[in-house]
Amino acid sequence: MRHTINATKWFKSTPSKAVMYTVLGAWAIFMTLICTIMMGKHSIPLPMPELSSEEVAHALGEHREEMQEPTWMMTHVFLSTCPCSKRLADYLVDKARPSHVEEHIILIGDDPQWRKQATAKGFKVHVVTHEELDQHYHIKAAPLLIIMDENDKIMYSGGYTSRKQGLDIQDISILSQLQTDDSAMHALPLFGCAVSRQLQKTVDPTGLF
Amino acid sequence: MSATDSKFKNAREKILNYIFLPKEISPYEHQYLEKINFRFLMFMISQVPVFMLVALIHDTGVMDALFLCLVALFGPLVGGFIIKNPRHLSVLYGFTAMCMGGILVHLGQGPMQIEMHFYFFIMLAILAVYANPVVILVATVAVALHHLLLYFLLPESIFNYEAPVWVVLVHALFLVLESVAVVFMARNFFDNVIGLEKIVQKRTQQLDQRNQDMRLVLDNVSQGLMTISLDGEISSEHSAILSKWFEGIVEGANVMDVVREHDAEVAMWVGLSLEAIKDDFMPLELSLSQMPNSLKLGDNTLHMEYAPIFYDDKLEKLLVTFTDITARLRQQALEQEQREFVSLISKSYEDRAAFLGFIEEGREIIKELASSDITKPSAVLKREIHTLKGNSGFFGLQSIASLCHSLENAIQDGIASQMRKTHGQLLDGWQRIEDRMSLFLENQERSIAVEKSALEKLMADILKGKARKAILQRVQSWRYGSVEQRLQNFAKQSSELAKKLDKPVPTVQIKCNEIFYDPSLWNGFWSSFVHVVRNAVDHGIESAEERVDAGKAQEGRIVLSAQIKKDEFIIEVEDDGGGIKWDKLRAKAEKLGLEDVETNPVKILFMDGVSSRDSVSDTSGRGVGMAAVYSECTNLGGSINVFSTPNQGTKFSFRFPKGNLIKQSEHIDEGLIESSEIWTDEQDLFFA
Repeated sequence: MRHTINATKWFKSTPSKAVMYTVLGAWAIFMTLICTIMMGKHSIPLPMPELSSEEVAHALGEHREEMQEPTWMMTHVFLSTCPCSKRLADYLVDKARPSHVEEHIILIGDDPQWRKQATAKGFKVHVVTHEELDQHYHIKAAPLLIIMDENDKIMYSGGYTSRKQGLDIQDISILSQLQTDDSAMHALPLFGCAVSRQLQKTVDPTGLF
Repeated sequence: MSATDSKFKNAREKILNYIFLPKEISPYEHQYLEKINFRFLMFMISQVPVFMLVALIHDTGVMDALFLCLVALFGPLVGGFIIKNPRHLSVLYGFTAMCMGGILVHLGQGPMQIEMHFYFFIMLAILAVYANPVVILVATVAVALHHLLLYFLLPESIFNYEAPVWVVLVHALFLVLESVAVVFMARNFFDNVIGLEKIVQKRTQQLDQRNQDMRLVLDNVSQGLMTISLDGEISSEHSAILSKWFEGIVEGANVMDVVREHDAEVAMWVGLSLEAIKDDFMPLELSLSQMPNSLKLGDNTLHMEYAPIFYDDKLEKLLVTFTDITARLRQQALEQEQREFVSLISKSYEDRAAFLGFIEEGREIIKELASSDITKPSAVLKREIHTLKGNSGFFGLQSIASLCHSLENAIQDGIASQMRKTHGQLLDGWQRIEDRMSLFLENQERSIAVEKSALEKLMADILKGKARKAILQRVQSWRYGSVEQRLQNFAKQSSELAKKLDKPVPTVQIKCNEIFYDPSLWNGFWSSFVHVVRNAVDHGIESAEERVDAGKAQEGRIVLSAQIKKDEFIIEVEDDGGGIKWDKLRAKAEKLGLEDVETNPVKILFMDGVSSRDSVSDTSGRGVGMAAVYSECTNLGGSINVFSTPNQGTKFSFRFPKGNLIKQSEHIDEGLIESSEIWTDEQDLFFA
């Protein structure tokens, strides 16, 4: 038997109930959106610079120190409020780093204590704002690893792990492979946080996360 | 509609019927879902601190965790107040569970974030407790919706940046597979557990319907059906007619009490039989066969049958079936009366004098019975009852013979009520026969039947000018009975008795001249003489095995003879049986405290109550028959000689004065008779 409900009549007959159901419906929609955003924020690979981006290469190359013999350069881009970035930053100061490589850290938003540790470890730390990162470095998301050869050619642009927050951080192995193979390699996905305001707005329209 | 469309429609309906539960919610399901909903809500609330801990560990904001959880739990908390249908509420909880999963994944950012996704799969499995496929589907759709929405919001994000499509597909495949499995589990859970009450309800309805049908049967069946426990307790369900037969029959009443109101003896036997069944010391079939099978209910007679009812091979109850057989018994009685009537008619044509003699003597005995106090019967009365029994049996009146036997039993048992009851039945039974045969008897009694040959012979004698007295004698003989005919009747009777006793039919030889007797004088003797013949068959001639062992022919031999010798009329019954067991007879007489035991053992044979038999059968064993013979013999002025040789046989010789064959007033001049060449030379016809 088919039942039809006259919605208008129903709403009029039970106003308080109707309000409650409306609230419940709104809640369901809201929760769906919230969950979608949370998933979008953390589960989708974020954009990263192209290997051929001369703007990025140029901006990063400006960090090079005057040296007799140019070396490969690794640039780590971290967001101080991003848990993924924090985990990688801690990893950098805890583990031994390769020699004969310049390593720079671009930190969006300052964290003095950590910056101190990183500097002590030999990293060149550059604290920048969201806008600077976007406008000067043309980078929109973190944590990002960019490796350039002696000629400031971007050899690698991508994430650190093959899966989101994976335990196997591959920055050193990527460097080794690039240095021996001398050809650009397949980039790992960038799971993390949007840094540029535009990307943040896209990923999290609510601005809650 | 094409066949494909029809198939598609059927398949769709099947799937929808599988996913969507029947609309009705049974009280049990309602109660169960309310309980589970409450527990599930508590379960989700209890997760809040865990989520906060996860947030703390992963540095994703403890307060964020609390806020997100509260937002997620807002729905179930509000829903709990406004949604009354527990199924709808469970759907809401299923949706919330998936939202909680989203929050957990968000809070668990870090190396374990992927593992946090297990939450979705675990919660989907847990949702099977709702036994509702819709809950599973809504939860699955909620997760799918998150992905779809993400796709719409960030179309390039899901599949771009080298995120492999197959990963997404595998991800979806796992979710779909689990959802299908959990839907299957949930539906089976509903069908076999939660919805079981509904199934039971349905079965109960069917059972009720069957019970109603059964009630209809029980209300309308003409038989009385009831089940009783081994203590006699009557079950609630019984056919309606029982309430009519046994007023006030109620559940829990005892069958003995119900029956006792109509027949105390039957009730007693029912009780004893039930005790025997409970004690289980006899085979069940035997115990059941010993239960009473007849109950008088006023003018009606109920037949009772018993069938055992077993539960798990253990006898628990008996099905008792009462059938009103009154009409059947009446019909049988009528049929028996009809058969007896035909038999009587037949016998009357075989031996008219014997028949009329039987009727006349029967009347006398019945008259005597009617005027006697049956509870204090004399020896003579007992003999008369016995004689009536024997003759009734011979003339085919089995109903009378049977009543006589019952009366004898009652007298022997000394049960006054039974005596009066059977006595009344016997008088009624005889009266019915008299009534039925009144016209026939009247006709028989006032007429004389003459064989055509006898009439022609008489006519020839007249033409030849025979003496008047000779002619008169011949005509006179038509009123008398033929001894030879009598002996032939006894021969036939002995054959029938042998068959009844399962003995080989003896060879009966009759030796007799044409001798006539006056029935009015001799009926009593012939009636009692039947006992001598019956004794020869029953007591005298051994069983086939005994005879063979004794070196005799398997079949016995009996000689019945009658002759006029000088002035005596001699009747003899001779058998080649085992002979009279005098020792046994003497011992019996001693036991009874009878006199003359030592001096004249032959006398013992003719005493009342003495029989060589240890047990009574419906043919012999009471020690009454021979006493009757002796009595009748002496009444006719006769004497009895008994010759018996062990293993060779017995001969009874009855000797009477020749003149007692007919009444003195009807005697014709003997000299004329004896001088008549007709009677002496040709016919050997004897008169006194």
